[in-house]
Amino acid sequence: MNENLLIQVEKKLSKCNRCGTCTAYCPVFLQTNEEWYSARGRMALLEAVTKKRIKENAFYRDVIFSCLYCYTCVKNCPVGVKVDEFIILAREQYIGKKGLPLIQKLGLETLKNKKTLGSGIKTLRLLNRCSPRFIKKVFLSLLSKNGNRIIPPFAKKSLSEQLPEKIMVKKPKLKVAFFTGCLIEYIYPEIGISLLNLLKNQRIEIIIPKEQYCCGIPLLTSGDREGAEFLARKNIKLFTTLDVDYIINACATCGSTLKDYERLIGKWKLKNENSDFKIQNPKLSVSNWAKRIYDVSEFLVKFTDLKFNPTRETKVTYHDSCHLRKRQGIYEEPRHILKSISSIDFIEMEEADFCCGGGGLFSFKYYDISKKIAQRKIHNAECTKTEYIITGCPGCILHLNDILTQKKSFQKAIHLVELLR
Amino acid sequence: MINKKIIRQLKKIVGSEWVYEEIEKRICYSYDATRLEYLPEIVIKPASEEEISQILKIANQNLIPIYPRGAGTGMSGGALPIKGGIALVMTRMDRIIEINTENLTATVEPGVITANLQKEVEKLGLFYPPDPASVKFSTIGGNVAESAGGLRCLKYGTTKDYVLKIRAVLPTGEIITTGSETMKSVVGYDLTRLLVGSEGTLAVFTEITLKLIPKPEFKKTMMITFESILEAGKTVSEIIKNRIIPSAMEFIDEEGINCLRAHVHPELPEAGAFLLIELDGSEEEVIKNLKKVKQICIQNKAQKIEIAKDERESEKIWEIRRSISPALYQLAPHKINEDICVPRNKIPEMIEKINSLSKESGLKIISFGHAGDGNIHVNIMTDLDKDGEREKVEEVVNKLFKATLELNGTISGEHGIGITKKPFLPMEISTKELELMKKIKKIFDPSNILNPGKIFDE
Repeated sequence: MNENLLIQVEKKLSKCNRCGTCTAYCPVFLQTNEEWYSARGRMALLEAVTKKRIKENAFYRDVIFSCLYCYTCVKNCPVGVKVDEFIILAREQYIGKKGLPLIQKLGLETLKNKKTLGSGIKTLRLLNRCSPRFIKKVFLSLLSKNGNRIIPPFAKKSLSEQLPEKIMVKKPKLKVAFFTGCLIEYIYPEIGISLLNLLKNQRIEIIIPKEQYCCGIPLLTSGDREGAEFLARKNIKLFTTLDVDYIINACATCGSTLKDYERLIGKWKLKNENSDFKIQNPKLSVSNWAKRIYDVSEFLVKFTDLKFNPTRETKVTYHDSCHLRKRQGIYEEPRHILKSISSIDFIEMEEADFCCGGGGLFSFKYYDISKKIAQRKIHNAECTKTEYIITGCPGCILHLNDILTQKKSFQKAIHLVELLR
Repeated sequence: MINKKIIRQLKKIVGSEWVYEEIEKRICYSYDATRLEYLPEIVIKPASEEEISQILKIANQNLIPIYPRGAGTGMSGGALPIKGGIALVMTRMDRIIEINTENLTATVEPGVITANLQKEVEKLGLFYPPDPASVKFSTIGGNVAESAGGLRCLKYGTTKDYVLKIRAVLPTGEIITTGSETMKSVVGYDLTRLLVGSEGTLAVFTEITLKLIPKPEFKKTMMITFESILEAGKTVSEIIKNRIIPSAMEFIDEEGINCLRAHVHPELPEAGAFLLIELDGSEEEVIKNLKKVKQICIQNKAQKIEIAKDERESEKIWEIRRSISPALYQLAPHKINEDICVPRNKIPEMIEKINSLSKESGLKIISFGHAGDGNIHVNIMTDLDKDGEREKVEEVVNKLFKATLELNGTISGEHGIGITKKPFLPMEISTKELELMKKIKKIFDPSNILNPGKIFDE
């Protein structure tokens, strides 16, 4: 583990000219109004660490881990400072020296082993059925002060347990592999089922490889780049052997991570790999990989006629998941789909692209801030007086529904594909 | 030197959670948009006028330099604690106290983000026009201290044209009120005008009353392409001569266009200059003026006139303007941004002068900015890490200011003097006037504790 990762990029760190533009956008700064919670403050402190002006102490730890990884500052930075990359480097350097908290480490390690993960979830599910309150209590107390947080239980049967590995159709137009992601696999299998039905109707053959792993983002954002890389390799190895045209996903965060694998492991460093790390499907070679990963909305607009079965009439608004809009540039496609369904009245909310505050592990560590950010989002959503908040990320759904339920809102967050038939 | 006893006193005033002594926190309030850094000894975030008054009394008694700071987005170093001491961060005082829809005024605390105020007044059909580039993240207090400008000044004026009344704390801790909420007031010297643009050297603002105007009901944006800056310049003069005052009139020079074409907008046409014009007012008036502007453009050999059909298209045009500044970093790692201002009919002459300076020095210089009011953003692109580069830039800046003043211009249109332009101040202001300013400073701040070392040395 390299202990001076930041020093290597010192010159790039100094590209931030402290103009303060990020302070108009950073959701954490807007909630806290403290400079060190803004991108420019974080950049200043990262630079201070490289110059040894400050120590990597608890304050610093808070500064680097309180970033949502929402990409909003990067998108709006006038000089294009890649704040997200530096934050990851800083976390990697910090964790390399001080290690992760045990419980987090255990959790993340589990993601690296399919078998342990499977039996772990089975055990939790069982315990949950016996005493849901107990489980919640243990869970939340381990994670931190999450108060009244409502975390949906694990699904009775995970997605892969409910489905065959391959769904055949007659005369398939296209063949795709479905990267499910952990939230859809274990908590929201209904999103996966909706997606599969949609594609089946469009005569698209789907493979849902059982041996797929977590995309790696929880490890990456925890500072465990090696672990994330390990998972990325597993996934690349698996998916490149499949005879498919595209890899689709319905999770904004997983999708953006998959598309970014090249940046994560630098052209996959193929030369140093074992011979079994051969790409059997040339469509998914290094140079093609990112181009072949599709978010479901992107896929539907590009490859289908957007003719869906009629649904009941309802009003909806749309929340741009940061990892869909800001990381993948996808925002027109879902709106296009929503507008194309005649029974659906789509009403745009104010600040649709403002973060929901979820941020994966962020919401566990900084639940108070996370909740406040969500409240701003929900206020804007409720102003549209619609029934559903549609979004493209199960992470946002989890967070939004927690806060919506707590405040007994009339709205519910669902995935775009759950709306379509 | 701030000793333990003083820190205890200060903590008692604002509460210990609002006094920052840790180096990490102090670093976060040590910089501004100049990218210069000066570490304050402590940071204080007061919440009321009373607290500020008490803090200033202590600073005054103990001769501690104290530096008021809004969002820290200034372009000339106005908020930098160059002599250590206290950074007085005003962002907790961010209440909009009143929006008076009968008198069309707004009273705010200094920490309000300007765009937030604009959003609130626009909900009521009102308008606060000043729009510096930092409008989304700078504070009203900072805007008033620097008398911030922006795109719309050509028609609507700068911050100074909107400040009616100020409540402030003097460096000695006494509280003053200047001006009046009324639209007219000629009682005594105009201290309000003196405080606006005083760069935080005379008093700490605690409450500001601003003039609002009705929100224009209609606007149209257009982009015009010219073969040379000369024709663009003539067009600008003629538009004004025809008694049309656009709400914004921006230009981009050839170098700027080339940079945009190469790095961000390959779809843009090759051209010698762009003019971006926004007209606002009643629909009838805008349509009438639009026709006239179009005619003037054609007479001046405009190559292409594009008129935005809707909000989206007009947003696209402004996006082009906004993307230049960041795109410039593709040319060199550092950008020295000067904001000279010349009488508007002198723009073509000034641009020619800038171009010859660029040739002479071998440095890339890109100009763009507010054609309508003569405020040109001159961007000298450089790599300051290279040997001798710093001196070269300094020489160019010197020559640039000289040329500006020869054309009856001014060396700063909207950024202020702060510390970055301090050495150049005597070029524009004579000894007599400078003396007068120093005396004024002394009357307000006898112990020289409030933002010392800014604008001029004592």
